[in-house]
Amino acid sequence: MPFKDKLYRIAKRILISEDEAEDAVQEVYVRLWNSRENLKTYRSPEAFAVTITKNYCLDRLKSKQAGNLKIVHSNYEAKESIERNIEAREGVSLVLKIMESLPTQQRIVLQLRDIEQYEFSEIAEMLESNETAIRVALSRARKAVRDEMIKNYNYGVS
Amino acid sequence: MESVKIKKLLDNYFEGRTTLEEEKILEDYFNQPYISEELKSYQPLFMGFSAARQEVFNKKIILPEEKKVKFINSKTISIAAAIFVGIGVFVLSQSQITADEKEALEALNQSRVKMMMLSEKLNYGAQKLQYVSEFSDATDRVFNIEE
Repeated sequence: MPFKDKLYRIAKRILISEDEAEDAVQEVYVRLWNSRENLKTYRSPEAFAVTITKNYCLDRLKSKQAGNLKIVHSNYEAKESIERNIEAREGVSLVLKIMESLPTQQRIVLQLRDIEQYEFSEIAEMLESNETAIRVALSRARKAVRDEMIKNYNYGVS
Repeated sequence: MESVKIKKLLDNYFEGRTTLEEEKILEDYFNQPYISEELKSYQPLFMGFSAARQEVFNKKIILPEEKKVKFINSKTISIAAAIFVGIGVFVLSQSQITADEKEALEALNQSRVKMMMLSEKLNYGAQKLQYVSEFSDATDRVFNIEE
């Protein structure tokens, strides 16, 4: 399962909840398994897998909102492997918190570019969009995170 | 000097105009300890991305069992078929009979046919004998009346 970690992180970014992200990855793999014959015909199976994950998670999100259920926020815990000072670690979890507050589409684009590091052409294919639209959404997302962080940073200082 | 280059990259970054290589330079810069004071506020952003990338999926993925079973079945079926064919060939090779046995069998069959014919004729003869008994019955009756 070469890209299960990526799919998991994408699912978690969209659904926010860890448990639901795990369920989503499980479901996506079953779907991929069922359509494994068609999978060979795709130019990039990974891009196809990301598209399925994204669509599935958006559907889940929609049905959750329709069911008037609250999104369960799981507090992001910075990994122990990052041995930086506490200040930086707090900053890291802050970034992820801010990401959660972004509009879904911007959140997905930011995830695919800055965390998963896909090319613009790949992201456009995954999101069934075009590169210009992706760049615009990405720029907005990055600026939004920056502005939120500066706000927080100043608040912390003063 | 370097901070000037980084600043320029940052500007492009927020406009969505950096390449993956340039973004790598930014991330590397903010993941090392010597960061220009005026750029420090951007550090958590890039460190956050690096940290988020470390997250892995630890649960076991369960794929549909039914398909797997099907796969095993086709295998066992082919094995079973091979064994079956083997047994069949073995049995067939065993049932090849020798010429002597064939002759004996033929003789047996012939004698059986002859016996059947014989018993048929015998039955026919027995049927005809009934007329004889009928005849004696009739004569008895005649003689009884006359008495």
